[in-house]
Amino acid sequence: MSDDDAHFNRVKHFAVDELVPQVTWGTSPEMVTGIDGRVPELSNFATGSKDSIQRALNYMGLKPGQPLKGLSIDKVFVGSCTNARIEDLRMVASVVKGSKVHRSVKQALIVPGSGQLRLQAEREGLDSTIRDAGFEWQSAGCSMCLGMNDDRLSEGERCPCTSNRNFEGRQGKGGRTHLMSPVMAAAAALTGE
Amino acid sequence: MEAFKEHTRVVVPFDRSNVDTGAILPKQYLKMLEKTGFGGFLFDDERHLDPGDVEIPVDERRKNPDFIPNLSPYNCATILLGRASFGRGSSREHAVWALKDFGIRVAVASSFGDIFLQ
Repeated sequence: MSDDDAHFNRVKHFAVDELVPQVTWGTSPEMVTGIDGRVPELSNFATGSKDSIQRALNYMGLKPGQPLKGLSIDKVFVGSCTNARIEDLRMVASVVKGSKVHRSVKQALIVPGSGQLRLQAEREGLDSTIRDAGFEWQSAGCSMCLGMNDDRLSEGERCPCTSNRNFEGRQGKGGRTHLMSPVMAAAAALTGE
Repeated sequence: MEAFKEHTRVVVPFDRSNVDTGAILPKQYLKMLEKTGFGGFLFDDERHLDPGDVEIPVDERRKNPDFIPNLSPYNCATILLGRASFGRGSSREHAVWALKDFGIRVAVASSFGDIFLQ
């Protein structure tokens, strides 16, 4: 936190209450829009960027103008250093309580951000709620953020993911990552989209 | 690092922006404990047609005939020419080691990822 008398070069105000949950559509974190939004048209981008954007769309299997809402998903990953804190796990548990992972979702992983967090979550009973809903509750680790062990996407699989990297192949070669918040990822697991 | 004043050699173009460190050196090779031997795995996913891992000898995998760094004379290049944001993404020194092992001594791009640049 900055000191009370800190001086800032620029101050910007964001009405975050009015912000729709954000979801990435591309292969870089800045390729993002609201969940009620659409994949942008190529004409929205500078000439020099069009090739990168088209490459991202080809990789993600999306077309310009396509809505993000309703996209079928294959796996879900709630985890990573970025977004698996105790507050995140509490919110996820409250969202999934009494519901079940959609039958079309092949795997829904929840990986606490650290061993300590895992213990705390278990003391609070969050793991039971999460398991009862059909999620896999795993030990802390990089898991499907990095895709270095068996927790990974196969070619073409689409995955709501709470990490901060949606680069090509990050979660597995050919895997299609959509970055979003833990609550959004959990909700996606329940609806299958 | 080895200092030099002039360097006149082959340039290999990498005509894409936003090349991340995972593309430069895929994550499965982070299991290697040495600091050398990464050159064969540089741009591994695009460079080969078959998937690779530490246990799979790189000589047994098919090279991608359309990938420019696989083609002569670019496979002997010591200068890499990239576009914007080369080396973005996760901190991964192995990416630098892979470039160095391949033979790259100079990287030129319109911009680099912050961590990679350091």
